[in-house]
Amino acid sequence: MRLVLYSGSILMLLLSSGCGSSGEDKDGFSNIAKVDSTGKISAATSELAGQVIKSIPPPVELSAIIKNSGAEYFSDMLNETGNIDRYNTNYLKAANLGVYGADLGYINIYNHKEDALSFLNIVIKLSEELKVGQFFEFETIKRIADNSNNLDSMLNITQSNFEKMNNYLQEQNRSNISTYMLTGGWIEAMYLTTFVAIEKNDKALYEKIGEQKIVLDQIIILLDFYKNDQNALGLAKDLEALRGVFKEVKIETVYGEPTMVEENGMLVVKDNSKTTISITRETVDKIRESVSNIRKKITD
Amino acid sequence: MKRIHKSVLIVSLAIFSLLSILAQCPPEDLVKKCSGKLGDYMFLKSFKIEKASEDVEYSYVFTTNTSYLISLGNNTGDGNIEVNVYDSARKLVMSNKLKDKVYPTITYTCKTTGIYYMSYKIKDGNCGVSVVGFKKM
Repeated sequence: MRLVLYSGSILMLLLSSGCGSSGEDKDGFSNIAKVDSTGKISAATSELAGQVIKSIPPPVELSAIIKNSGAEYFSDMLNETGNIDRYNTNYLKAANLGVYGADLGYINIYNHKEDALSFLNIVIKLSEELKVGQFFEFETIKRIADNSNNLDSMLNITQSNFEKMNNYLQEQNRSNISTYMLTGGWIEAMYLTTFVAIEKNDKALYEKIGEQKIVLDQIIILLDFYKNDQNALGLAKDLEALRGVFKEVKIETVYGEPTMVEENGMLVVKDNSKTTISITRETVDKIRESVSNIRKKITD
Repeated sequence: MKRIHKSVLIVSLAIFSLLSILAQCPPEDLVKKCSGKLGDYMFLKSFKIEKASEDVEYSYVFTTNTSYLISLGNNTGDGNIEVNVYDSARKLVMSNKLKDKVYPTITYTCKTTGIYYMSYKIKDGNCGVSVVGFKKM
């Protein structure tokens, strides 16, 4: 059992080696079987992938940003629940479980109970088809939603259940499923955010989109673990093209010493660093178009 | 023969010790307990921390203008886990230790989006959890 997780070092090593590049032995992980010719994933790969997955924020963070911007609720933007029958491979099921999961988080943030239960049903159905349905029990979650004035508790429980599902998938050496879920979820959250940002011409949202450059790098690292899988390869290719657009985004940071004070028995840390994100409306538009095309491949 | 018996005994003891450690480490209960302290913060992730000779480290992408709450707990009570968070340049951005006091809960409003490294050390017990919640500013 590995007790110490050097995820940071792993990420740095992968990033500095230009992961996804052609050299087979350059990434320093050639001794770790990633995906073998039969498509089986090794425990080591699953563990490493699990650490990267842990580092990526869930889509609900972007949904909260959308709501904070004052944007209204757009149910038409969500993936149609009727599309579920189209998803006939594990890859499509997993990627769309991520998409519907992101939609569910967005709905919960906006407190639309009827839509939430409808999307929860879809999430449960896809989870069952992927043999991870044990983490969602409709009646329990519905009862929690019924007993509260807002859907915060439902949001917390679904977030926590998705995390348990990811942990289980990692234990079962099925972290590729988690990776597809996560990628689908991120694409959906970006699809919603870029749509709202352009509609509202909201500069704060543009900056939020710009900083997703860092998350995209992480997702590309993840997909690199499964490069023998044609689905991962196709997705990685599309995301590499998206990364090309993100190169137009400039992020500059000036470090400042943090200050810490005790408030009501809690330690409050004030970050004194400052970041400047430079991104234009044109770049956001290009990102939106690229994200929209990737989403179409996943959902249509 | 005697040597074989001795080896079997040592292996059995090692397995028993490991199982005992695992039995005392129910992260699910600790996640629930720490999640209960999130208040108006929304659950984001939980990180399992086990006693080790070196610090246990996880990475996470924190984003600007987001307030994070880190709630820590272990199987011997609160305040027995130290956390230091470093930015991508390995500069310290926060710690739950101030003037020798270790706090079980810290809040942090991020001003710089990036990969951060959360380095945990269990001071007492052998199993702990860190739950991270967020709210937009």
